[in-house]
Amino acid sequence: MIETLSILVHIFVITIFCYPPKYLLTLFSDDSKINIIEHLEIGIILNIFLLLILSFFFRQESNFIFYILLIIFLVNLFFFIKDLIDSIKLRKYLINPELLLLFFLVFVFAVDLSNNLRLGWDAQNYWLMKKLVFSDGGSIFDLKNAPMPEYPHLGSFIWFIYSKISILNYEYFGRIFYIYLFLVSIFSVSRIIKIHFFEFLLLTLSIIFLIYKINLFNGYQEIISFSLLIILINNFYRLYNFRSSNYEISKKNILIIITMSILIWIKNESTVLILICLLSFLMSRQFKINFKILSILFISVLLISKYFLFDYLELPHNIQTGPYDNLKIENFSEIISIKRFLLITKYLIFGFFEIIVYFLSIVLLVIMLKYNKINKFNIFLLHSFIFSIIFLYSAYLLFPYPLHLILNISLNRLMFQTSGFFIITIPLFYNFFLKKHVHKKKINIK
Amino acid sequence: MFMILYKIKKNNYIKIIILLIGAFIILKQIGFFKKFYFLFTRSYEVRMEKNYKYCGQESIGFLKTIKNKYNIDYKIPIINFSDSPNSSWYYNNLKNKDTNKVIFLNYFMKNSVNSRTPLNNKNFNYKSNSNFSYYLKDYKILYQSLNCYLLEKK
Repeated sequence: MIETLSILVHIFVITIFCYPPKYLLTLFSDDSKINIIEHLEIGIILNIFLLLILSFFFRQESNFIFYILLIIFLVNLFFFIKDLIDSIKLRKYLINPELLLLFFLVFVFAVDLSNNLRLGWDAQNYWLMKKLVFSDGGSIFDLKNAPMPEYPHLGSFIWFIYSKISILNYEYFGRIFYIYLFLVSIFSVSRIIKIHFFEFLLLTLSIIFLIYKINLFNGYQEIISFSLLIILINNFYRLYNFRSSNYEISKKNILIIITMSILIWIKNESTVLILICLLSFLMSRQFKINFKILSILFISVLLISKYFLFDYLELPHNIQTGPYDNLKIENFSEIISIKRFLLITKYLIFGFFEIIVYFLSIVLLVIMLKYNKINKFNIFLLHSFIFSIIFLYSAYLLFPYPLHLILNISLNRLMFQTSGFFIITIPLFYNFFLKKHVHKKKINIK
Repeated sequence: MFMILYKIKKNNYIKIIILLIGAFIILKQIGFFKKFYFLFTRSYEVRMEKNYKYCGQESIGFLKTIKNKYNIDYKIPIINFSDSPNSSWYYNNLKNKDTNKVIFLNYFMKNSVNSRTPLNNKNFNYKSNSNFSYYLKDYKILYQSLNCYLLEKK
């Protein structure tokens, strides 16, 4: 009973942390009217960004970061209650139905998680170890002694903070935040189009249950980069559909930069994901050259700052200790072969059918491109797909050891992360289908 | 809550019925009702043991038993002979102390306790774990359950 109540309280606490005051949202959104899902979407990004900054100040002897978190919690709580009272005064819903649905799903998945506590292999060996550095009172400077010091720490730090501030301090309470992030990202991608609540409900539930399996929350960090990538692509979509051609002034740019800066501190592969985004964006003709140069500069600053921070923390810079260290140009002729290429292709095809949402998204993207060749955002997605495939092939072709085992272990996880680019095609296709259908109906009536 | 229901009711009964049936199917599929029941009836420690096995894989059940049985408040080195991760994280909140005790998890012997024949743990890398003897004859067995041992150096 206590554990169930603790889960409910924990979900409420996470919601409050991700519910910044409305006036703050105006800095990140071009629309004056922001729905609850976009509110939480911006809130969760700001919350993770705040945790990234606070992680650098975490010390055993000081409660500084917990005081900061407490102040933020109280401020957010005040505005949450104020909004609730306003909504009652306006005779709207007592609780927004979308928020209620989110609460319900987080609770259902948290109950599932509470019965499937087993962490994955990498999670036990690397990510949990980083979390334990903080749990034992170590600071960010102690990460160099943890296994795989070249992996970034943000996901483990979030895990630590949210299990620390829970009532029962159980490890899995930290992972409830991962569930929350996943669900907010799916809700936000479904809300990218304007549809009725019932349609939104069906669309959201369909996407969630196409993706959901409890193993996604076994401590691996892929779910975080996947969810953040969905939010990042949502904001790219909003940027592409910005009312003015003066894209530099869109407030979504700030959110895009913040999301990217979080992503590079989740996993090393995430750096490649944002480079894929950047390349696809640069290939788009919609934007002026100045804006593109500015984007390159911003992303370079992000990557360089990460490099210097790693240097300062005495952490290694390599992507992954081990296999790629032995990579030499003279061995290229041996490792890049048709046989290995075909093997990767075989596993990629298996992967497409394993991660059904990836397959579905690409099919829908192709259909939309067939009917609407000039849609710039669809072309952006197509470029992202091409670059993702190139990334997957190069990652494995350059792996200097036999491929069977590594493809078995990691390809699905890597593909799952990149599928975050394309989930948006599902609501976009629904919208496209509706428009086409309604348009046809109108013609028939005439 | 009532206001939401009121609003939905006005819109369409069929939608609510479809929704409820859909929700029920999904909850049934992920075993929500059973898991919700276990959340009430099984403690966190019991669920941990169910997930990580008593003696097998990470063997958290065994680690919990010896921690409680011997009132252990310090870290004991753990050697897991299976291909599961080392579960020393379970004792992470205990203090560091020099000890002559060691825990063997999922340890399979070829023949008898006194055997000197090659050991039979296929997935274990004997070279990278050379701080301890792998022969039970070098230890006093303090507690054993299946293939998990709490040992003390002789």
